[in-house]
Amino acid sequence: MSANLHTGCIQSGPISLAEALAAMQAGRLTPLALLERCLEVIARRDGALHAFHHLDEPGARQAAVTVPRGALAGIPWAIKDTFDAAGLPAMANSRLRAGRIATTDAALVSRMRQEGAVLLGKLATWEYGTGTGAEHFDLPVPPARNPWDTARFTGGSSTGAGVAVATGMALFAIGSDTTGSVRLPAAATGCCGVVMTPGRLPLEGALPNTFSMDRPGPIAWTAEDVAIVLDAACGTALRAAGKAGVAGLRIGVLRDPGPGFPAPDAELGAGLEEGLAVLSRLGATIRDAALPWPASVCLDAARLIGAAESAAIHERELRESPDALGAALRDKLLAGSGVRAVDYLAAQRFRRAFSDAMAALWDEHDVLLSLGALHLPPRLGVEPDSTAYTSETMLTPASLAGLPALVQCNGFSRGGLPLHWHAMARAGNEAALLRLGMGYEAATPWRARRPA
Amino acid sequence: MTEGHHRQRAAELAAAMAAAAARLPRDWPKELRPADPVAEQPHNEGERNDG
Repeated sequence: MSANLHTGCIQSGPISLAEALAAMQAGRLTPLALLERCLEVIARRDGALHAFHHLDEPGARQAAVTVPRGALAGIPWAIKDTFDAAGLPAMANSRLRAGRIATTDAALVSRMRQEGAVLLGKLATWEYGTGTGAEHFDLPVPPARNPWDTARFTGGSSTGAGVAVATGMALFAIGSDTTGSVRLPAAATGCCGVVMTPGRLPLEGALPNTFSMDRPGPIAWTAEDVAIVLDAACGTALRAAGKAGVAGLRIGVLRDPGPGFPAPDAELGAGLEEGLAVLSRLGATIRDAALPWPASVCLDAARLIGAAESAAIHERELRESPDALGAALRDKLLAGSGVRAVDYLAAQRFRRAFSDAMAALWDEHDVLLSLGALHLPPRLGVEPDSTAYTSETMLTPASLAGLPALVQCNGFSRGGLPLHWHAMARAGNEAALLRLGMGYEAATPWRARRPA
Repeated sequence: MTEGHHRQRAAELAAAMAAAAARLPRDWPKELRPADPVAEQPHNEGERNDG
């Protein structure tokens, strides 16, 4: 814990959202002092990390000094630059959107303002929030860098969100996730990231990536912090639900990604097993489980659906300005333009069958636990490692089936990179995910370690 | 890049998409149409449990 609540002293390092709220409620921290801490980290570190595309220091200062009220009063946060925030640049890392200033707030920006949160600015993203998984170093803003090892990838496409939270630049961030773009950055940077059941968090005012799989989601340092954000954003009571803890949860373990994917990195696999032992000691029931189809088939379906829908959304950009697009987005749109209608429909039929088959698993399990990524974060721009990192994952089943899912840190590699796991639950059962996340983090030491 | 490069890249990527499509299960049983399409079961009907 960075905030010593017993002595009243607030230490100088990053603090969690829950700690900040408690300190402000007790009168030991003001919104402006908290903002100054975040701005100091940004000034000191973001020149090397590139988490922010646009920092709105004057707007944040104004919001912090106007005595904010609400469930997130005075909490500095930031949002992926694919969501509009009135008066701020909205470039989405695309030359085709250079100079664009948003005139209205996305629904989530508006909601966070109502709850008193202090918007710091816009966070790094792949172009239009999508791509192929490859980094080509050809976008207007250079790629964000992982604070645990600046030579390594941050996870995408919400590339700045995990960086900002892990370093204490922001106490939470909002990104968007089609096949893992919130969960993968959370995994790569040692944070907690959640996607909810589709429709529970609004997408209004965000750039679309696909028609049928996009979801917004928060990234924060702890699962409890994520619960606080979700409760403020959509009126749930997940923080209270999460306090029920792990005891009694029926956890199914998906150890084997199945044919088509490699075995996970050994250190990630060991982290999963050690974490399962903790959950068992906390009173969870652990059983083996299996997906109805391999995760690699889910990836095939998600690629067909995602590329075709993206190509339909950005057809004009590809037709009129292909050379202004970055190579990753151009490749994705070219690929999507070549998808046959019968193949797109085959992917959607598989998606429905997969969703129906997944529904049967919830009779035996409250949570299905697996790795998210099968690899540790790769070095930036090294292929095929980057594409393998973003595509060989256990994240797409929840995307296809529209299931809520959570990623959290469950240790560190020998080289100091964060390990993680991925949990998904029945649609509507976010509470089970927060019970797992909050119970596990309260019983383990991992939240005490931040990137130097 | 030239238009020729784009065409070549598009052909490579279309082949990758076709390969992905070929790996999908496709031999689904024919479904008879329901009497009332609106009555079809929607997805994600899970009971909400958010505490």
